[in-house]
Amino acid sequence: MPLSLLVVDDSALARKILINSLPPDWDVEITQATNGVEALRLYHEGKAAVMFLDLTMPEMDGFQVLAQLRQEGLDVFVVVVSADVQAGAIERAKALGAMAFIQKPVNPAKLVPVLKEYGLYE
Amino acid sequence: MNNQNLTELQRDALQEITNVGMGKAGAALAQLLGTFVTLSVPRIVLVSVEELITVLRNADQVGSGTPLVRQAFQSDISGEAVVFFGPDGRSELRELMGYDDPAIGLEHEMLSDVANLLVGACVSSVFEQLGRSLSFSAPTFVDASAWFDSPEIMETARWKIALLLHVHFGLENGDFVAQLAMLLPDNAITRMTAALNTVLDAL
Repeated sequence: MPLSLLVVDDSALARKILINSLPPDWDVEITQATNGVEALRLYHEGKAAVMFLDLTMPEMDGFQVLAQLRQEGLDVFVVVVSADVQAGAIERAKALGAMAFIQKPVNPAKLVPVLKEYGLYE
Repeated sequence: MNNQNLTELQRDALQEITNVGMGKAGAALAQLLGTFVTLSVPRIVLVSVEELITVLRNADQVGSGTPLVRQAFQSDISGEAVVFFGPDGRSELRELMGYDDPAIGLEHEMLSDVANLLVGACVSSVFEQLGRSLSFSAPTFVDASAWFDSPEIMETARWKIALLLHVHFGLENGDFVAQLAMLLPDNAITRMTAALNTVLDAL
């Protein structure tokens, strides 16, 4: 059964870059969201075993999504994908329950080792 | 020229590329100041240089004595970056940077340092993502209102277009606002659009 991935970013380019960086032979079903509100709705619909989450988004940002997920029990593996590369942002995201952090712009060299490290892809 | 001259995909790509650039600038600023910097989504607009001046004047960002830092950059896309500082947050910045003496010369030095860092990190990153490396000239410090009134900017059609980034930096003990504008001549915007298409086509 394919693994359900949710790609959350307000930018179409960023979502495309991320999806193109995924291993082509990885058995996944990909859903996309353009903001935090949509992301939570799709998560509730069971579309997110793994979530790739941008931090800076209008309306509801990534930190707010993480906080909400944690409050609900965090039944999802969250990889934060962000242009905000401050040590403070990484710490804050991890403190809120994010498992991994990838700096934009994403490429396979950054993404694949993270997937392997956590046993998401072999 | 305005935003309508970019397709939605091009505008989104430019916005995202700029976001990544601002993330780099924010991280550099956080390191310089030793504090966490809250980044908001930067607003980007493409305007004519005349419109840029109107926008900045109407936003009450630019009055007499408003400091402005200019820095030219060169590659096959060349232009000039200018940074305007809003009135808020300068004393907090000065404190964080350890310039305790409120002497005006030091304020200029402090703002030049911050502008240099923002331009270096953001503009380099934007062009790197467009597959280019840049060289920079040394930054110069000028009075914004005097610069707007100077014949250099108004009379010549040297700068056709400005990519204006409105960036809001939140500091722990007070916010400050900086506007970063990239001034581009006509041929540069054509090349930039082509570079955006290259990025989009590669996907």
